[in-house]
Amino acid sequence: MVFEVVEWIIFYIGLGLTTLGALCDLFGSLGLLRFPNFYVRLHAATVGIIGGAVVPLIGVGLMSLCSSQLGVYRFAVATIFFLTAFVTMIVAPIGTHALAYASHRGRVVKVEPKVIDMLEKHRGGEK
Amino acid sequence: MEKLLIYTLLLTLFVGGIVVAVSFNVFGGSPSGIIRSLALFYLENMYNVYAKTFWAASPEAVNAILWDYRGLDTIYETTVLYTALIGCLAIATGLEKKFRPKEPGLTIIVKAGTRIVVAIVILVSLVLAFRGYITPGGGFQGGVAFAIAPLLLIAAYSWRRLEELGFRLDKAVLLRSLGLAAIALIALAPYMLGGYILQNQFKPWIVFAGAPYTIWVFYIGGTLLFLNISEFFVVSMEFLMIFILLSIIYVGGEK
Repeated sequence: MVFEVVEWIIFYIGLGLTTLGALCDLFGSLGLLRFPNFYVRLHAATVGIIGGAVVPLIGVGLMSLCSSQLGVYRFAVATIFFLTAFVTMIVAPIGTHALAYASHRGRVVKVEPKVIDMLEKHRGGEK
Repeated sequence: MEKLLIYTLLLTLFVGGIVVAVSFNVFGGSPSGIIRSLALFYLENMYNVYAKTFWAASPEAVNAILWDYRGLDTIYETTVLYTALIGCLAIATGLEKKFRPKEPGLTIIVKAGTRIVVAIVILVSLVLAFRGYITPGGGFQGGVAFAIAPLLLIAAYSWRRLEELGFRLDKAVLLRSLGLAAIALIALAPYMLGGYILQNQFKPWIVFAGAPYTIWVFYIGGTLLFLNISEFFVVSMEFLMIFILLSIIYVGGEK
């Protein structure tokens, strides 16, 4: 009985995480449309990836862990979800970081509007 | 801005309409309703341990078809890739490598992450290739997955670092040739022993006794394991050669 209640609680936590992921995707896409420049848009894209892919993957993993109709295979399914979430969590920030670093270093994208750019001195001046 | 909005809306409606149409079978029913007789033949005979006349000793249908039933087709595919690579190498002959004075690569964050991802990629590619006769995968898929590793290393570090690690062009050519020779040997060995080319298991109308499908307690699926490993080396090294050739800057070349 207690076990079943815990199972249902974990299931609803997973459902909540999945809903949160959908919301993060919405906000990420809104930011991608409305933010002023490339670097801030990258931030919105990362919100879409971490919030909109990693969080719902963990949520779906929790949900499949508590779906007893799947039998023993639910552990395999959940493991795949958690592994995918882990790999995505490592890869996505590295990708956006590499994009931002390379575009700033190679002077491809202007930082505009700009309050302060501490890295400009490091790469060697405006032009 | 308004034009963009209209285009976006139209595109969204178009894609959404296609999804709805497909899910309601507007373009005809889904093809999975009936199993056709050819598919039924493979499903019944591929891993039929009770009637071994047409079996391929592999529970993985795609691999069994690729290397056993339609083995020659895969051999020709490998030949096509081989010929294309010969063309690539021929273009690059006689050119001299030019090193950039300093190649620091990307930041330490990217390098640390790349190390983790490269380890995962190599592990997954080996699993795909070496277990391709049991689970979905195979030599070609494993080789293509492996080729991502040097590509990531080129992007995050530099081509010179890759060469220090041992991913060199001459080594790649050597391993590729060894893989091709192994495939040719495995294909021709049954013919020498009285069977037909690329024969895997015993057939009652021919002399060849068939490749063993177990070694001690390990299930190896006849020739499929060895063909997968050879194909893995061929494909991964060919893609490595392409990436190395694309990332080196060459100078000169007029001969």
